[in-house]
Amino acid sequence: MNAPAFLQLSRWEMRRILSERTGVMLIVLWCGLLALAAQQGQRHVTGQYAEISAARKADEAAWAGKRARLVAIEGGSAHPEAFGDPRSPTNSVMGRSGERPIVLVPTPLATLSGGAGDLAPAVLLAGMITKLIGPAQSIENPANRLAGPLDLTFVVSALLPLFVLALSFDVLARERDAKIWPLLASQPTSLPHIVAARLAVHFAALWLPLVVAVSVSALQSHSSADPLLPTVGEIALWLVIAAGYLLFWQLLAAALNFRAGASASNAVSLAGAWLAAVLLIPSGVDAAVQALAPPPDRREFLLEVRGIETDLFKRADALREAYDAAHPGQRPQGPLNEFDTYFVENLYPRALATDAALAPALTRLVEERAAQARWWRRLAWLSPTLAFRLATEQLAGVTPVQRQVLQTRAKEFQNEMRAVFGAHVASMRPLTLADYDRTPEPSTVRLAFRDRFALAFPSLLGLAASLVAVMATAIALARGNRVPAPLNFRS
Amino acid sequence: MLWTIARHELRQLRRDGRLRAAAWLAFCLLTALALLGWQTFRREAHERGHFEATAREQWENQGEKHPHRAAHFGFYLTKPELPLTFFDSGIKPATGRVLWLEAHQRSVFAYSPTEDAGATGILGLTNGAEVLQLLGALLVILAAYGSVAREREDGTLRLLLAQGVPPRRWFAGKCMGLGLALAIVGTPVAVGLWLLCWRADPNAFGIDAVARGLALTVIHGIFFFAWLIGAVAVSAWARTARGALALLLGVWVGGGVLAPRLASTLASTLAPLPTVAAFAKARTDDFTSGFESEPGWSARLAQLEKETLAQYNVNKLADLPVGFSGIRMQAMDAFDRRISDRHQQRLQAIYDRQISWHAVTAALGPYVPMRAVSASLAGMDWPHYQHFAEAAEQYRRGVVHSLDQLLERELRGDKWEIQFGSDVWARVPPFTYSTPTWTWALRVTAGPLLLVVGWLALAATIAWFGARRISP
Repeated sequence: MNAPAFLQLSRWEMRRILSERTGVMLIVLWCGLLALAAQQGQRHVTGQYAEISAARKADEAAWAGKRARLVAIEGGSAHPEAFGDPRSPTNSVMGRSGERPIVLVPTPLATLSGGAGDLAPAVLLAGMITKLIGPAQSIENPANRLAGPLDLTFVVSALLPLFVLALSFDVLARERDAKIWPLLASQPTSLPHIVAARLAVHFAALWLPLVVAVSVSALQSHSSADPLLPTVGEIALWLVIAAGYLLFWQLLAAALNFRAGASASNAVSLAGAWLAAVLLIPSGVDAAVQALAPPPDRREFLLEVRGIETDLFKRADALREAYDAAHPGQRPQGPLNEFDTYFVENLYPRALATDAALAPALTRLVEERAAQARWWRRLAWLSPTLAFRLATEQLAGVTPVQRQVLQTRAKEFQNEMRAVFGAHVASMRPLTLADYDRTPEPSTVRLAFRDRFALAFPSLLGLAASLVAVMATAIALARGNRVPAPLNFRS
Repeated sequence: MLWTIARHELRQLRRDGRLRAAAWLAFCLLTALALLGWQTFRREAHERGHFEATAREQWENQGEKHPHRAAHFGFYLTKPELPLTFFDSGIKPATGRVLWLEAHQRSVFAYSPTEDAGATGILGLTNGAEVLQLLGALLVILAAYGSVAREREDGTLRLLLAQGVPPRRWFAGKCMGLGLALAIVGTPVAVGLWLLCWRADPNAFGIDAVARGLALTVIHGIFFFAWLIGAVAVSAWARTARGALALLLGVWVGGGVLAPRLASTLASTLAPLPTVAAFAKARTDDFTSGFESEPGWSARLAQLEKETLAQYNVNKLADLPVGFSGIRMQAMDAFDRRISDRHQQRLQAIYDRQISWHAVTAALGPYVPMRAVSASLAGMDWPHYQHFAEAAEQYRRGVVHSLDQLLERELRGDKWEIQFGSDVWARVPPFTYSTPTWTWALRVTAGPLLLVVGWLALAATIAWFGARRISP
């Protein structure tokens, strides 16, 4: 078929859709949903950037304030307060006031996939004795979290197939229902070409608004500090994946239409496929993953942590002696007050020992989560919806396993802080301006595109395999004997 | 005549192979998830018991330490679950499993299962109630969408009306037949669920659990009846069976798939919560600088020192015959409690507004309010969790206060360090909690309950007028 004929067919299909109230309503509804989801994604990421910015500003102000007070005290223009002396290691670097924000910057695709992002913080505070094993604090109403975010990934993965169903369920069967197949078959254009032209219009009607929504949402949330080109590249990749997913459902609709069923049967079959791909298979995969790789037992973990903490608390003196033996020359030179004594004799050496004792339990926890993620990746190909969701969430860097990197970086930062201030805390040697200037800068974590893509690759492969399979089926049905004789031009 | 029409409808349904297959699929899925839920419930009940007993043992054997450090060591509590949880786990997947009670902090639930979900969070169906409500409604739609419209398309409606069958009676007969079919499928499901509920925890299967179960059964009956007569009414209004199916599926997708996410989106957009950092900062600001013209902590402490010195007629804190650090901690906690309550009220007001926005999405279908009612009757909705958290908070305050009093009694002057042992920790009473009654559950979920009944009323109204205008 030549291009003008294809365009002519497409124009006719477009006119048909626009002439029907249902068709127009569907497109308006689709655009409305996309706009809402895009706005939600943008709001989510803007909120994350605001949180990051607030944490950084508060941190800078706190450290600058402490430094300024120290300058004033050393200059004699101010007197130290009981619990606010910037020279005291317990006041300045040990407690909450010494914690600094480690930041996980949202990826360019974070606007499109909320994922578990609302469960994992964008900012983690880390200090000398911060317990980094705890969960993220949340005051969110869980009833809100339960349903999950209305993001573009949800709209595309769960709702897009329904729009395909509504537009394409009778892409060929409508002529069969109207008993004008012989007329259509007598035309010089082949049926597959007619179907292709019609589906191309449906594709454009669904995909072009998606391109606009995705681009606007992702580009508006784009940080001006980051280069634009990689962001555009990632958006393009996301759109290509979405196009593949859309094509999968369109080809399924085409295959059903080529099968020579009535439009009502096609609609029921497509609805059944949607139900299976969106609800039933993910439920089955979820149950299978829980059975094959049970989630970490958090309660047992907590009991283990408390057991270790209690044991180490009882052995605090021995821990202090071991610390002194490993770090000679760090004993305090003068008398200490009650608080400082507790920090020196008990809290700091115990914090170090606790971290070392908890390391195996934490490693086990991370491994159990990783095992779960592996099983999800292995089973995602069972449903194209699951494969699409998993791939896009991994590309957006919002899965729990990916966000683990924030905790890892926080731990590294804690070690850097201990390397700089450990001796001060152990000996209660007052902090100087030089010490303040040596404070490690809190780091910013970015998930590299290469790593995200590598993680998403198996799911993308699964999606591609589904697409190829359904394409092969559609082509076979279009060419094969199952097309009724009057329409089978080869027979 | 009514019975004849109903019997005819039943026969037609029985002959529909696709419907039979769909019913079996839904039944198998429901059974699988209910059994999985039942097994999980029993395992978790055992684990919860072990966790709480071990946590208590660890509290009592934490060794010699300062009472305030013991208060920071804290307690771990878990929310008890009713046997109905196996059927409807409510917000459990998204809510933390434990509460850590420690000094100074109002506790929040931590470690939700979704945090460890490993992949896409919540996708698909996670419990028996979701399957029953979502797929059950779909089954009702598939059974009822063609009940009138197909007869119209086939031309049999004209024949029926020509024979003098009153349209409303015929309509009622159709509903009765479909209702009977629903009852035939639903009764074994309900009996099975009741048995599982009883076997899940026979000791907890008391009057309250039975009342909750009965209320749950009745509300599910109302929910499915609303879908049923709504579907038949749409079938009566629609010109074609295809049109009826499209409309009903649209309502099902809108109400069952889209509405829950729309509800949370509306709620978090129009009634946004502060970030954890902003919330913590607001509390710290109140503590430091005071609120409502009251002074902040530094000024209060100075005043407290002055008053205590005057009360004991001494010049220095070191000369006090009681432990000032205990007095200071009590004053600090009392001030902190007021700040905490003040901010908690603010949060509660936002939660209430969010729940109102959830109710708005009930306009798309009865699924969202039905989920709220079902989770509430199973004791697994947000108000139940908050009720537990509030009881735990009162317990925390009592324990911390008693430990602060110990400091005041046992210390002298402005000393801080002192150690106590297991005998003191063992004297702290264990936490006891009673789950609210079923009437409380119904009261807190009255809004969604009315919305489900409202959907039934709306469906009945459409059916009433739809039955009147039945024409070939």
